Amino acid sequence: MPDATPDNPKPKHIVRSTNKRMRSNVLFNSICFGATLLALIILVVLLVSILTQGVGSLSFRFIGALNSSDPHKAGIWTSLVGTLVICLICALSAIPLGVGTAILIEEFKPRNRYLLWLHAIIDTNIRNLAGVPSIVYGILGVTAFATMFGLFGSMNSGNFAVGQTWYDQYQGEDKQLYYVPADGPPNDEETGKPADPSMTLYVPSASGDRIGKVATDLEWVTAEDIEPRVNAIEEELAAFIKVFRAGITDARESRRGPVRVDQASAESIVDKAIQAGTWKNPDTSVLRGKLLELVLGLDGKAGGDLIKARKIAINIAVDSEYAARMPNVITKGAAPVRVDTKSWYHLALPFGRGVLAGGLTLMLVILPIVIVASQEALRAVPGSFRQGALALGSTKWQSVSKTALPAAIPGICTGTILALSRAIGEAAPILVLGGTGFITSPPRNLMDSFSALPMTIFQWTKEPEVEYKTIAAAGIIVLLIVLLSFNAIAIYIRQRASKHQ
Amino acid sequence: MSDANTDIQLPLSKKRSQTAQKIRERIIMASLIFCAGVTVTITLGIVFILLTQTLEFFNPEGHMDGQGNVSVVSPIDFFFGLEWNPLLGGEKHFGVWPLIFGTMKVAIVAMIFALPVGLISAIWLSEYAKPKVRNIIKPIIEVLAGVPTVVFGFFAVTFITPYLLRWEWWRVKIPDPENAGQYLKDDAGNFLTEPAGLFGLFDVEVYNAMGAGLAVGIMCLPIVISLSEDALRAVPRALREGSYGLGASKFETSVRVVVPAALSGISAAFLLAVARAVGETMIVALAAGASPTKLIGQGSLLDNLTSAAALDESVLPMTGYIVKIFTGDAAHGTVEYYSSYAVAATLFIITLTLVIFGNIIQQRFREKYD
Amino acid sequence: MFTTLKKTAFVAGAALAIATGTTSAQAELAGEIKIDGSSTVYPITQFVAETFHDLNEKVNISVGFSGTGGGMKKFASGETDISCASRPIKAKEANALKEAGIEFIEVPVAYDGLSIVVNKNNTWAESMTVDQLQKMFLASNKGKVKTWKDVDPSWPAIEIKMYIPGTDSGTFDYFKEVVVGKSEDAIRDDVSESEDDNVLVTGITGDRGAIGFFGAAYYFANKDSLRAVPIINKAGKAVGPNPKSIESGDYNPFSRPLFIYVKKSSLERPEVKAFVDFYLADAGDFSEEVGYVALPAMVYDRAKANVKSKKTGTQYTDASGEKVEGPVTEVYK
Repeated sequence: MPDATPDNPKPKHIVRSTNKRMRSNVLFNSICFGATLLALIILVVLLVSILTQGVGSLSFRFIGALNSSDPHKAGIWTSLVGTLVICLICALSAIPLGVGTAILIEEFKPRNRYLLWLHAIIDTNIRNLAGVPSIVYGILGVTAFATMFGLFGSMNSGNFAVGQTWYDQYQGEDKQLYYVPADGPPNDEETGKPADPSMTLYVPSASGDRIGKVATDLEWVTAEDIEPRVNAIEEELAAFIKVFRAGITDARESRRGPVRVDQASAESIVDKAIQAGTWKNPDTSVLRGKLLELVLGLDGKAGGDLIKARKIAINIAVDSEYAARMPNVITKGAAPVRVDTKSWYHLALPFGRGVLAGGLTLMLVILPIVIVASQEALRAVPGSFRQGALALGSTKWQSVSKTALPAAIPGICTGTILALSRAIGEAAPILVLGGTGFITSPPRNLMDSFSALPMTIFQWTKEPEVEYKTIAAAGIIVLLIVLLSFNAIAIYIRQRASKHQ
Repeated sequence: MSDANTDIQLPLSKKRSQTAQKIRERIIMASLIFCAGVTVTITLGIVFILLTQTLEFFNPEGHMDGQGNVSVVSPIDFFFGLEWNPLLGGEKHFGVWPLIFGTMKVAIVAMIFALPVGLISAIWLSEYAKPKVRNIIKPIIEVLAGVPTVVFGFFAVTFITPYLLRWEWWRVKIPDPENAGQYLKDDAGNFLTEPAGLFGLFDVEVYNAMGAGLAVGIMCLPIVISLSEDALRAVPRALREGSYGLGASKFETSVRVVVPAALSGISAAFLLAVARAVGETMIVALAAGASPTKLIGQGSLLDNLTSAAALDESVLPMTGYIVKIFTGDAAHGTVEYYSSYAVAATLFIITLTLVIFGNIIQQRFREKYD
Repeated sequence: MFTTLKKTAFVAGAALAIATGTTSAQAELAGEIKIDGSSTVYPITQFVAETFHDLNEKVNISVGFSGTGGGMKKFASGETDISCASRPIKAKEANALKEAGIEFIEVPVAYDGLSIVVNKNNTWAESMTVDQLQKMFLASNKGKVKTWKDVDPSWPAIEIKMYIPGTDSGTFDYFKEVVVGKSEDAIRDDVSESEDDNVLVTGITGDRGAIGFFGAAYYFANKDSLRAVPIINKAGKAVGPNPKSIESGDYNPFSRPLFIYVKKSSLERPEVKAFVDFYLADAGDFSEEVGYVALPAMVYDRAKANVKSKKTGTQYTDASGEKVEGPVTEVYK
């Protein structure tokens, strides 16, 4: 900008206008800087507000616990693992499809006019797909993967199932479960053989394998024999249960309040209950000790803890009595239930609303992003690379696979990882697909139901109670940590690649 | 590509390996074409599902609603109807405009925030910022782009609406509607209080278009910034240098030369951002509420317009309705169930139009300077 | 890889410290229980599932909240073992199940009471009838009924402000069923609708002429800031919502039973049988802990008997296929 110097004074109006222009330049600079600063401030406020709300609830217990109706006990374990598993499925399907499409579009431009036209359509189509709202992909995912247009019957009709092992399951009178290998899924014609002393029954092994040791020392009885015995136990224990429950209820401060017990009152509750029951073993001291411990532990407890402890106490008493009265007793002619165990690769058509359908639905969302990123990475590789390879006599594919593709890999990786971090945070398609709210186990096979972290955060944020907002914030922190580590990997790859070049 | 070798005698094994090579390349080509075919199938799949289900919604025989009454909806009722009332009110109405209005209100708030702030930030980053500073700020903005939308929804519900819009940190006494100058008290004689509301004046609802819109705007901000910055940076240096050479200031160069030259790229960025805002689901499902905008039946024309434009009230955008149906109590096969597909189809058409135009404009501007 | 992803390593806490006492001689239950359905019943079922899972670690349970209708759809396609419902099954849904060859057992688990609430400074509405509620809330009276005086001439001419829960909530459905019933009418649309019960509470607290309704559990939690209007029941008595009146059935017609529907073939599996028994043995306590009201013991006994004898079908349809109406205490006699 020309400056006015004392030697060469400018006309006044020019000075004024120059000053004004300078001022407006400075002003504009500040406005522009202010706008950028605003964007940064928003990010800071966002992070600070989430951190202050959530950091207090963040703990290993929170990460390792299941979702719960009590916000103080709720955790994210199943949804966190669910998210990672669907993300893995999403990556395994989106990367080959996306990179393959990008190679076709970028490296194999056809010469034929009609093919060229088709080529342009595919290219445009991908760009437009990237702008389709994710909820629409959710609707597509439900129909295409979960129900498969109804072509294979209803969900759970289990056509073309693989990775399933079937057993006939028999239940002994002491509630012990026995298994016999079976040849296939249940059907209407045969429901498995009724229990018979001639058959070999197996008990599950400690590691959870259903076919463990052969069951020995079984006492076979008939249905007629067993009925009065079962009825007798039920009747004699019913009195115990009734008195025990009444004792606990009386010890509560109010209708829904906590239990208040001391040593004496706990003993009185337990003793009264034990006296009401009829026990096979005249020495009930072991049982009494266990129950007493549980009742004393109830002091100050309300809600779920109370019900749980009460249930445990009753279970201990009932189980020990069944085990004592009918060890290894099994009824002749008891009908089995056909049950299965599933390998991790268990698969059937249609896919249902399991992790596989979830991962593939997310694949739909990120596929266009992966393609566009890969296209850009391939385009950035200088043409001389390919021409050099072609000149050395390599085929078109060799030139692509040995020169262009390796050079583009850092770019493809970065783009893909960023796309995957989008998949991790996506909740709308999962919501449409119908993820579950509460689940006790992370997905164990491809068809297993799942819960995803963004879904859980959504569910908690919707609750009116403040406690849920806090754990939602804690969930967000975990989600952001996962995302940031993904981003860090992408940045690392990008920087390493730029150093190499 | 074996033509080059014609006059060289190759050993037999080499020839065979060449046929193997050819077959392999064929297989590879086929799988590449399969990959590309998947993307086309996805589009066809979306169109097929939305189309068939929407046509089913318009089935002249009608569908049962949740109460067992049969409702018939014609495309004219749907596409031109001004009332959306599947559950409340006397007659059922399935006019999509109240939902489109809901979406528009959220998107307009978002764009009023994101477009100027985004564009101006982009100008600063591309024209003013030193490369060092830009290299720090750009990745930070990319972090904002990577934040999942459910997080912005959470932010809207726990921060924007309660603190920025409702001013819950400032509670005021509630005036008695019957006795002027008096305030409501509870039975114990304590004054009842309520949040002051925006600027202490506007009574903003807990779920409202503005809070959701601002969160959507924050979500769109990185898209606007990075796409506009790309457009600005694509403007050749020569244009800037020419402008400086004529004595223009940086401000004048930016506003009169660079921005107009990059206008097509910037408008593409805007269109793509609007498409993102229109299709956003999780933020509106958390923060926007569930009341369809009332376009008619509010009294005078002015009352209707004010009601339609109100930003402090709960709104039901298209995506919000789809979530509501897919997670709600509506039974499969009812008219409410099918209506969600018709709404999804409308949403798809709107976003696709925006995206197609955005991409066409972007393509044009790329060609201009490439 | 999925099998290695076990949570056992992480879980700690007092609750499990108690549970370690349960190692008895018998084999643990194993298997999978899939549950979906009403979001109203979800809190109870989730609570039961959590407790059950703590005692039976190897049983994997998933509970969804796709709504009563969505849950029934999944139930009919064989995806779930148990479907939660905030209303008795509809004939159409029962037919769909029949076509799919799915037999089910109906189990009532709790009461959900609906409270009609007004501002604390509303001194005039000492009790209300369903007729008066109809006058207020029906769409055909929109424009005609504006003030409390329009409903009852002895009440003041203060404008009525209506607050209702979200139209896809079970609570709204239930209110609508009672107030609109089978008539062609509907709930008027000039009302404030919100999914967040807190918004309703705030709205009603701040407006002397306000009226609204929500689940009884939420009223019990906000007793200090609101007043529930006693409703004239079928016997002509004005009864307010409280656990006693809801349990006895005196608080009618605004109390409704909640159900779970169990697939008969799933009930053959020991883990599902154990779960349902577990649920029913303490259904009253479970529901009270999450804010609902226990059903009378007689209804639970009847339900237990139905589960034991595997009596399929709904009690809301009699032998001749006619729809049975009335309180759950009558239906489950």
